[in-house]
Amino acid sequence: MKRRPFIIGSLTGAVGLTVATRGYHWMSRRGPSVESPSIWVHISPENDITITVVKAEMGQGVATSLPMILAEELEADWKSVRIKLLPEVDDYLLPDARLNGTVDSISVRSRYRQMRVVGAAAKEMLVAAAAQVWEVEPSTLKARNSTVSHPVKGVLTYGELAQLASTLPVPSDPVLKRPEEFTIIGTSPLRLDGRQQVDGTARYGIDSVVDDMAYGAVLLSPVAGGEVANFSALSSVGRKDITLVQVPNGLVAVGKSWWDASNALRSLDVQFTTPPETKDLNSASISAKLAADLQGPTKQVETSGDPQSAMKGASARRSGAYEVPFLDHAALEPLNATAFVTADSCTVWAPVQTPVGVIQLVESLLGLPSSAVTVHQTFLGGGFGRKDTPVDFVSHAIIASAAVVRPVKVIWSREQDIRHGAYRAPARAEISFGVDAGGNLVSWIAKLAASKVGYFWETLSLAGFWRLPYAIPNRDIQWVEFNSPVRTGFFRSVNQSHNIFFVESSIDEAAHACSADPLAFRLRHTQQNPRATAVLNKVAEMARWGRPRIEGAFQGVALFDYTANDDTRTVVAHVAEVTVDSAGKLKVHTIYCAIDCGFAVNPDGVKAQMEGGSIFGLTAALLGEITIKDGAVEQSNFHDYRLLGLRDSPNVETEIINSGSIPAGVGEYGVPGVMPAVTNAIFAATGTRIRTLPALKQKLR
Amino acid sequence: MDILVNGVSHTLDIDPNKPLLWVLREDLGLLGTKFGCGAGLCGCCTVLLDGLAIRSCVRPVRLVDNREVTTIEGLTDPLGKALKEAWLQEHVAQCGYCQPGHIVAAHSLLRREPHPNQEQIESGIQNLCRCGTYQRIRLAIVRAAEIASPAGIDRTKGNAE
Repeated sequence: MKRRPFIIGSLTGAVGLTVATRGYHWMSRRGPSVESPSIWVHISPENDITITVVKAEMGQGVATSLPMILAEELEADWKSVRIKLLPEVDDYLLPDARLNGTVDSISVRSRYRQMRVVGAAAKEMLVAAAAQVWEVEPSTLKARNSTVSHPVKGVLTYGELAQLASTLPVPSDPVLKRPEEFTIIGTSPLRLDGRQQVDGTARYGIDSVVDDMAYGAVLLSPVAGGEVANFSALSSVGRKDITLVQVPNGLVAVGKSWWDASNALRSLDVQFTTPPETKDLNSASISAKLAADLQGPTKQVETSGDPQSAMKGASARRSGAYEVPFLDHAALEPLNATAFVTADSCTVWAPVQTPVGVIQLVESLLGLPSSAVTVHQTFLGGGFGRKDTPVDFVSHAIIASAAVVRPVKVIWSREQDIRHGAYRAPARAEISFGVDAGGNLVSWIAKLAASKVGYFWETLSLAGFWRLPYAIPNRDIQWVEFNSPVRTGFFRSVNQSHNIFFVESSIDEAAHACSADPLAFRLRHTQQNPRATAVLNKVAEMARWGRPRIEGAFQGVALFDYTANDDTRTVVAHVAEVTVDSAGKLKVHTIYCAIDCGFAVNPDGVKAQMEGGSIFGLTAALLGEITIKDGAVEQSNFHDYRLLGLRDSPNVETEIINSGSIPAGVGEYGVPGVMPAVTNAIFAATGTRIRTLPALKQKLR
Repeated sequence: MDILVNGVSHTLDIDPNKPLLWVLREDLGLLGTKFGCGAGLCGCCTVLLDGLAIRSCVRPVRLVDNREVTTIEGLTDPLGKALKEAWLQEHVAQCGYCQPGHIVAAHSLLRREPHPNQEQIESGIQNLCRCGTYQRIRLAIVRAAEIASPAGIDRTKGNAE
């Protein structure tokens, strides 16, 4: 076994550093990106092709789908394609900052054209190299399976041509293949990281190993904003082989083993200050604030016709208030980071969705120029948005390493991970609608109190709540920003994780208000939206709408389509089939899902995302809730922050509609619609309308 | 103390109360076994102890003294290979973090029950997957069972069918 001498200084002073809690931006260090094949493709003399992946692989399959796109245009032999994970920094950043980071389901849609152009350019350079070698016209050559061939001259491998090719000019406008010529795009090969995933050799952030590394365990203030009050007393009673390092809102114990460091933390009597503004916080007061925000001034973001008059003239009117709680991401790989800080450099190994954010973090923490910072991209054991907020877990490693002057791997315990999330914020909506005697929605008045997400806030914060896919002549949509007193952040499907629940529940209520079939009602109001109509019809056919396969089962439907006028959008329809027994016990038998993401680059990967996204959404709908008591998060591990397991997870049957040739996003879009689909099915089964989540906290009968 | 992991014996000078998980990861460099919850709830840390699945994050290393520990890295018997192949062919893994634990748990299940029904799979696999890959895990277990002991030569059920 490996043994290394373990020497650690007895540093005891507080390391006082201020960390911005949100708001880093994604900018390149060196300006606009260069689309040179040399930074994307490496071809070995043995003809192995290594393709660079700069989007974080966290389960969504980008480490396969992005190389597929490049390999297609390169005419690469797929069997010889390997991957190299690199952080998305410097030359790899796109000029439009909104497209950087592995967030918002942007990876394939933002890189599709670039990967094709790079692959096609590299292929043209290899062909040009062969033309030089053989002294023939490039047009007489054919590239296929990592080789270039000529009817008379024979065959050269890319490996034989790569060196010469790399000296030739990069074509600025290479010819792209026609979609009907694709042989890789549109197929579902085994994942390029698949073998590593099943044999235990895939390396996640938590598996980073650095010579002479120490381990850090973390304890943060249970109450948001608290600081360690007795740090100097603690350091004087500490063990010699444990170093305590103060970090914002808590401390890190550094030792020779993570288990040892965790035990040391547990033995300490750490006192935290309690900020007056947070100590009386609880879930009820936060809920009251949401309701009060909705009663105060709101901003009108969409209006059409005369909704008030239309409401008065409607033959049926209803109003409903909906609310959802905080949610934690609970990725199974706990938050962790490894850092090595020297006097003039900082190296970080971390499972992060946005490595450029780590560089900015180091700059703000240590004052080092970005050129002194190196970030190593690892696989992520789940991210779901939480690992896009590195300010806490990555800074712990940086601060600890700076303090003990050696590499430190900091791992949060599950308890710290759940108690100190960057939670999906709670939100509340009040929606009133009116339907006429013909069963038409004539008025829609809706108000939302929700967190403001990112600097392109309108798209993300209001997504799913405005620009509805339904034809409603009279509309008044208002919103007010909810400032959460507990830290919040990005979550898989962001505010659509509640907005779709609010809207699709109300649409269902509207259908029932006029005794219409919920599917027919949606179809009636999406006649101008052929893609929405198509996924609704498809999912209805898959689910045998109205004729459930399970005896005594009921169905609920929901539509996800938040930007009804954007050609690169994704449209998803879900049907949930459930039974609720006489005691009110719910069973979700099957989820049906139809998706139109424009064009599926990797159809099985799209299905996998719909399956997983649906289980993620179902977990939120049925079980997910973080509650606050006396300023502290009450949940701490999987016994009280429960996830659906194998037994309670239904199969998700998915079909894909390719409506065009441009791929849109996928990773987040299985999540939102399943929530109202299942609560709408509960209503069909029981007459109980679920207006707050999680559903299983309520009596269903 | 002595510990036998994947067929190799190690003599370690460690705290006997240290959980097996951290001994594997920190002292033996076997990083395929993952930390998920530290409380035996999620199953990311599942390993075999004398062929049966246990949660290594809550098992003090003193309790495995001189017993046989098998981690995902050591799962190279025909059943282990069948499971890994089935996992690959069914495209089970998304982020993959929990999958070593699932594969090890499935190994333990299929050793006891070579052709489990759905109920046996549901009671036998208590691991969590945040990516929600459960339906493919069910398929992969059935496929692995077919690869490892094809129907017809099932040693527990005789040469049926």
